[in-house]
Order: sequence, then C-alpha cells, then structure tokens
Amino acid sequence: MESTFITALQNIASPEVLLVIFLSAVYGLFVGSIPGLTATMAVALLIPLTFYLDNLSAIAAIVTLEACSIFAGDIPTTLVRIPGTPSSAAYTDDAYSLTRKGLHETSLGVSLVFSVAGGLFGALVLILAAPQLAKVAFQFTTYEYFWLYVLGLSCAAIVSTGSRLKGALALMIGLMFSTVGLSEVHSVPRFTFGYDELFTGINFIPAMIGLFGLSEVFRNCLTSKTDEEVKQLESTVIAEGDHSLFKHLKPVFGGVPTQLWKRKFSWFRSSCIGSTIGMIPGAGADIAAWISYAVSKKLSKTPEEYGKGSLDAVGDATSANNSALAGAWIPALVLGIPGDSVTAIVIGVLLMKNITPGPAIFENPDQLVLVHGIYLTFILANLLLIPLGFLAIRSGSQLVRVPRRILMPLILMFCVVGSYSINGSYFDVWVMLGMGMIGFVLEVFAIPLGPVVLGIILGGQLEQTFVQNLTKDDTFLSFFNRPISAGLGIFCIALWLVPLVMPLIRKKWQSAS
Amino acid sequence: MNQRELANTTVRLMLLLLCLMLPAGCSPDTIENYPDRPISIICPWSVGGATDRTSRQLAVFLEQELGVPVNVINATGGRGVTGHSRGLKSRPDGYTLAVVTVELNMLHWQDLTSISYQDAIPVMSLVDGAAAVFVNNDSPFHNMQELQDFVKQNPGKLTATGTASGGIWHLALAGWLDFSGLDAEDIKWIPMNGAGPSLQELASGGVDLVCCSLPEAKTLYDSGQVRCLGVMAEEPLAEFKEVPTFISQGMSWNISGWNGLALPLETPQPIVDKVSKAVQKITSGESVMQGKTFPEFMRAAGLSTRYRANDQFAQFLKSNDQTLGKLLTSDAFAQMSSRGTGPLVFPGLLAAAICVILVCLGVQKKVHALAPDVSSDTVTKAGIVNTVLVLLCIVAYLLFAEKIGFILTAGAILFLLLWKFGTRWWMSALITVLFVPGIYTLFAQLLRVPLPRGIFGW
Repeated sequence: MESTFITALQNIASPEVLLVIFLSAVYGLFVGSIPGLTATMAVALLIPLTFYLDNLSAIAAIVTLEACSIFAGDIPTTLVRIPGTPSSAAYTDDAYSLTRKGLHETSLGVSLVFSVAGGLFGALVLILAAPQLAKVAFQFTTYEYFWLYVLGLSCAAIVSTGSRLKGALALMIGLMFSTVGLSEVHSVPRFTFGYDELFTGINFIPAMIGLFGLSEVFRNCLTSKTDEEVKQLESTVIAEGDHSLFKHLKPVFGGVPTQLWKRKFSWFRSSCIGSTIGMIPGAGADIAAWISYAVSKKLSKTPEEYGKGSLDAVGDATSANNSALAGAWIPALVLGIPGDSVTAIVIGVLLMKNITPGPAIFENPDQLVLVHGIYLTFILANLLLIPLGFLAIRSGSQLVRVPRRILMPLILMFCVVGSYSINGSYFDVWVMLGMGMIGFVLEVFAIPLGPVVLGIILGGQLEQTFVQNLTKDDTFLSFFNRPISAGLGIFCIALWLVPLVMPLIRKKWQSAS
Repeated sequence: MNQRELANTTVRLMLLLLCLMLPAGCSPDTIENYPDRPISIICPWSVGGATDRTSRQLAVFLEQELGVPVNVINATGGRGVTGHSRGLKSRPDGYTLAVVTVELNMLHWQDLTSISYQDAIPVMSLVDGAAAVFVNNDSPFHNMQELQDFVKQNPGKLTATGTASGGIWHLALAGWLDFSGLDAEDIKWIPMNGAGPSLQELASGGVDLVCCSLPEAKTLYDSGQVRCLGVMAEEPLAEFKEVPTFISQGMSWNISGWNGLALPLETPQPIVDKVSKAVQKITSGESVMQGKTFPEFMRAAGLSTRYRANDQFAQFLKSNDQTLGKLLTSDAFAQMSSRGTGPLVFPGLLAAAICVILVCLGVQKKVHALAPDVSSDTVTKAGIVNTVLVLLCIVAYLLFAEKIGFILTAGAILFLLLWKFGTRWWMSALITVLFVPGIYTLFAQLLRVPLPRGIFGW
C-alpha cells in the first residue's frame, strides 16, 4: 500500500501530468464561469484527448476540471446573478446581494476558500473510507430516492426568504414545467401540443439562464438602471502608489480568516452533508447545496439575513457542493456505478483503457497506483484552485466596473449564445426567453426563483420514483416499508407539518394557561 | 468609469482579442471539398452510455481518416425520438452523421414519431447487444428454467427492470414470456432510466430481475454482485463465453439491441461513398490509433460488434423493423403501457397543490406583496421601450440567425442595443467588432460548440 502511494506521488510529480492538471484547471475555471457551459460538456469535449494521454493524465484532467468548474460557477452567480452551475442557484440571492453592497470580492473570497475546504474534506472522505462507504449505494432503491428528492425539494422551498407558501408555490411551478415533454416513465408525450421539439421537455440550463439572468436584464432595462453611472465602491479602490501584495489580497481574502474561524463547525457539518449526498448515485451537488443551505439557516442565530447577503449561507452551501463532487467518485470507483454524469464518462474512459472499476482495481497493484494518483489529484486540484481562483476573481471583478448600459447587451448576448450552445437548438433560446419573462413576473410577486429551478431539475426523477413505487405496490404505505425510506419519509412529513402545527399548539397552550 | 478610461481598457482588450480572432472559412460547400469543416455526430443517448462510447470512439477514428474535427452531440430525450429526428432530419450535406439504434425500428410502431429506417441512408452497423437476464447474487434462480417455472406458479409476483416501458429490454423480456406461453405482464416491469440505474436497483434489492445487455452490466457482473441467467443470442458472446444462451437452455428466443451509423436521406451519393469508405477502413482494422485498431478498442470495452456495410445494413434494418413490428402490434403488447399510474396523475396532483397554495395565500392576503426592489424603483417610459426592444432583438435572433449566420445577426443586435442604451455609435461599433467574432472563435472553434451558420457559412 505504501509503495503504490509513493509511486503515485512520483507519477503525479512528472511535468506532463502537472501541466495537464494546470491546463485543466484553467479550462475548468473558464468553462464554469460561462453560464450555459457545463462541466459535463467540458469533460465530454476532453474525451478525444484522453485517447492520447496516459491513464493518470486523462483522469487527472477530468478531476481538476470538475473541481475548478464548480467553484467557477460562483463567479457569474455573484457578479451578474446568473448561476454558472445549478448548485449555485441555492445561494444566488445572497451572493448577488453582497455584490450590490460592493462586497462581491469578499463573497467570492469566502466562496473560494470554503469551496477548497469542502473539496479537501470530500477528498479525505474518498481516500480514507471509499470501499466502506460505497455500500451505501446498495441501500438506495426507488423508495429511498423518492424521499431524498422530496427532502431536497422541500429544503429549497422552506428556506426562501419571506413566505414559505410562496416557496412551495415556486416549487410546484418548477415541477409543472418538468412535466412538459415525453414522460420517460409512461412513454406518452404531455403538453407538447404536437411540437417535436417539446419532446425533450424544458432543459433546465436555458431555463436557469432565463429565470435569473434574462429577468435581471429586463428589470434593469425597465427601471432604466442602464442610465446609471457606476459608483466607486470602497472595497475595490486600491490607494494610489500602494501596490503591495497584501493590498491586492485584502479585498478577496480579508474577511476569510474570521469567517473560517467563526464557522469551523458549520463548515464540517456542511462538508459532511455534501459528501453523504454525493456518494448516493444520482444525487449530487445541487441537492447537497440546498440541503446544506436549509440546515445552515435552521441552525443559524441570524436566519433573517439568509437571502439578503449572508456570508454564512454562501460558505456553507458552497463547501457542500464541492465535497459532493468527490463523494460521487466513491460508488464509481468501488462499484462501477456512476455517482453523477461526469463519473459516468469517467467509467467509460476507464473501460476504454481496459480498467474495470470495481473491487478488482483495489487489488491489482498497477491499477491501485492509478487510484492513488486520483486521490492525490483531488488534493492537488483543490490546492491549485486557491491561486488560480484568486486570479479568476480579480479579473472577473472588473465586470462590476463596466457601466450597465454596456454590460446588459453583452450579458444578453451571452444568455442567448449560452442557451443555444447546449444542444445547438433554437428551441432552448425560446425557453430562455419565456423563462425570462416568467422570472420577471415571479419576482414582482416576491416568489423565489431557486425552487423553480430545482423543481425543473428534479421533477422528472421525482415523478419517476413516484410512479415506480406505485407500480411495485399500489399502496402508499409501501413508501415506508424500508428502514431508510421510512426514516426519510417521516422526516420530510415532519418538516412540512411541524411549522404548521406548532403555532396552533402554542395557541392552545397559551389559552390553557 | 469615464469615457477615457473606457477607451483605454477597450484598446487593451482589442489587442488581446485580435490575437484570438481567427478568420472563419466562408467558402460555399462543394462535394469535391468535402469535408472541409467540422462534422457532427448526433447520438440519441446520454454521455457515458454504451452508444455514446461507441460514437465517441468512432468519432476519434473518423477525425483521423477525414482530416476534420468530428464532434459528438448528445441529443437525448424522448426515448430516442429527439436524437433520431435531429440526426436524420438535419441538412443532408454530409456534415451531420446520425447514430441510429434499435429504437429507430420501434418508435414509429409505438406512435411516438413518424421517422423510420426509410428516412436513413445506412452506412455501417456497429454494435449488437443481445439481451440478457440478470439476478442479484443472492437470488434463488440459477437458470432460465427455474425462473420460468416460478413465474408459471406465481404470475405477477416478480418485478423486473432495465429501461423504460416499451423499450427494447422490456420487449425482450415480455417477448420471452409471450413466447413461453405466459402472459407478457406476468413479470411486473418497473420503468427505469437505463441499464445503469436498473442494475443498481437490482443490487439494492429493489427489483428481482434486470434485462439488459452484458456490456452494460460488465462492472457489476465482473465483481460478482449480479449473476447472468442467460443471453438471448444465437451463440455465446466472445467476451462472455461462460454465459449460456437461451437456445442452449431449450428456449429459442433471440433479440438484440443494436446501433450503427447513418446519413440523412437526401445526402448526395459521392458524400455517402466518401463516408462509407472511411468507416469501412476503420471497422476493418486498417486504421490504427495509438497502436490499436477500432475493433481492438471495442473489444477492450466489452462491446460486441457486428459490422454490416451499406446494403447489408439496409436489409438488416428492413427485416429487423418487420420483426419488431410484428411483436409490437401483437395483442400481447397492445395494452402494455396503459395500466398503472397514468401520465396525468402527477401533473394533476401538482395542479391541486397549486390551487390549495393560492387559496391559502389569498386568505393571508399576501399574493400582492411586491418585491421591495421593484416597488422602490420607478418604471420609466424609456425603460419600457428598451425592454420591448430587447424582446424584439431576441426574437429577431431566433428568426434570422439561421439564415444570415451568427456573426451578422448577433453583431447587428449587439450594436443596436449598445447604441440605444446610450453608448456612442463608434464605441458601440468597436465593442461589437471585438466581441462578436471573439465569441464565435471561443464557442465555435475553441470549444467546438455549434453556432448558427448562415448562407455565408458563419
């Protein structure tokens, strides 16, 4: 075991591998910060390259790309209110509110450090306990998945600022949108009105871009914010003649040490949530981010700040979504069951290179070297993220200084191009347009947008597990017949009922006393 | 930021972007030049799956043979309808190749599309995946006879999965039941999103059986988590010799999924010939990459290949279509997916929930609470004009981009909006000229993401 580890270390230290890791990190940061480009798409583009690279370089490239792009998704989330990845949708409101107060660099700095911390935690879990934890995958059947999705969706609805009912409404709207198209589980088209393009339903990426980004463009135009001149913000000003490194680091990292110390326990908790959700195949960073956000809000001493610019919220959610990434590799490496779409590609690449994921790779010394190399890459990629992420933040922050009358048309163009580029389909641009208008209207009525996006993403799977469970057994009681599903089920129901019932109980108490 | 600072920054940006701008080819397409720009392969199934891996393996070899970039686009959804329509209905200029799978011969029988094998020019069949039946390693069944006996005695008790209802693996299992004299619904089929999740469900104990192809189950099969009771092929598979066929167990029932490469119907014959020749070189093993041939790569991945070129493939498509058609239109299958929770149950529940929520909100009088931001800012007339303009621009892009190409449409829209929002016309022009080609280079050339091509080719 020791010797394979040392060999892996030597392999990683080779210039070729290090160069590949560095270039993937840059590529990942780039792809993550452009809305409409996803990590999965970027990894798919790397596949032809993997034929020419050796095993370690190929997988290291994918690992680094993943880790960097999920952080980079926070950059457009914070600066222009368009989530770069669906998991950033959980804290878009907080991050953007901070930008409006001129604290975008602090927010991104917290994002960066907590992302790295979460990623390192996830990597440690992967390294130390992968074979034991992989068995979790075999505890999850359609019943458990159903309640897991309900939990994730409930968390999204419950944490919305303001009325919880409106959060639930947003959720239902998102779920309704997800029913458009060919129902996978029934093979019957719904709400397609005869259009072939609606068969695939509403793709969540153009929907997300439209709901968040386009609606913001509309709002800026409608209220003539495009005429405004840009105010000079305190934190971005660097005094004349002072070019010391510290002065450059301060805006980004200034608030971080205090935040880290203050939130050391919540960081640990969030990363645990992230890893746990990540290691369940099919549940990934988005669910993890929402659940972590919800838990964070419930346990916070200042819950009213959540949604209005809470650094605590940003830190907790972002460490969860990064630790979830490493979690997805646990079932992938140990069992050959993909944890998410990126690991599905990785399994394909491994098979092409004649390596079969499964218990065998932990026994074969040559393949074990590769596995250890993957572990080391996780750590290296997260550490590399600190300097590169910092540079990305500094360059991205320049965006805030561009006048809105120039920024809005450019954002609009990126929205259009980003939506088209997913599938090369005009229909997606129509979706973005429609969702932009809907998003605008929803915000007028103070209905939160995050739950809508999560509803679109998870609606299909929620319905599928619902129908699958009923097909297995007609009774609703069967949803509670396995220990984990019973536990999750009761918890979800309590989550909704308790806040409704508590005020009534309290009233009874008061009238009794 | 005042005008001067902005101008300085823009000049610096211009120098940077000039380095990135590459001239886009604008020569018209001719048959002699083919291929002179990137080719797309449309794959109807998602990244990481068997069909996707086959497409990507082929793409890499094709790129070497044809000398142009070959990209795979996963147009998923609708049980394959999306990908097949997109591939076979694309412009027949040879720059879009379609990966067709067994669903091509099934979907039109199930009234999900009008597309059939007659809309395709077959080039080469690639992978044949015979259906196989798997059980968890603690299952009491050790061969198909035991399974059949159990089902005879306990109809409706066992559950199985592997794909969506009506998918090829469902057809395989239900067809076997029908062939054995049992009812097609004696094993309850649980629809799932593909072999991967199905096998996980099997290993978790959520279903009793899985029907899918052996390569899809390779990882769990090799680790011993699942066992294979039999494969529905004529002979044992080369990569899985120890798995008994159904025939060897006394049941002569065979069915396979397959995939292959095709071109849209009206593609000119010279282009079809060029593509066919390239693919034949690849599948015959003449093409070598990294010291290995295409067949060797496929074998390493555990995929069973069966290469049928052009006419052979066409004949296979026709007979396969008729075989599957007979199955799908028989009485046994006609009523298959109509029981159980219907498609409108879930939307119905959602609609009910929305009504309840709206009523509650109405009772609390909270529906009309305006978000603080919007109510504090005033909506100006100029603002309304600008917003409508933005809307019209997006619609204009949607209508014109395909005809006059990305650069011209996006350029016009960007210039118009920048200018209308208050930037001076020369500055707007400068920004437009920098960004639009820059974005084109970034997306279409560096990231290989498709952008609309107009009559000029860019």
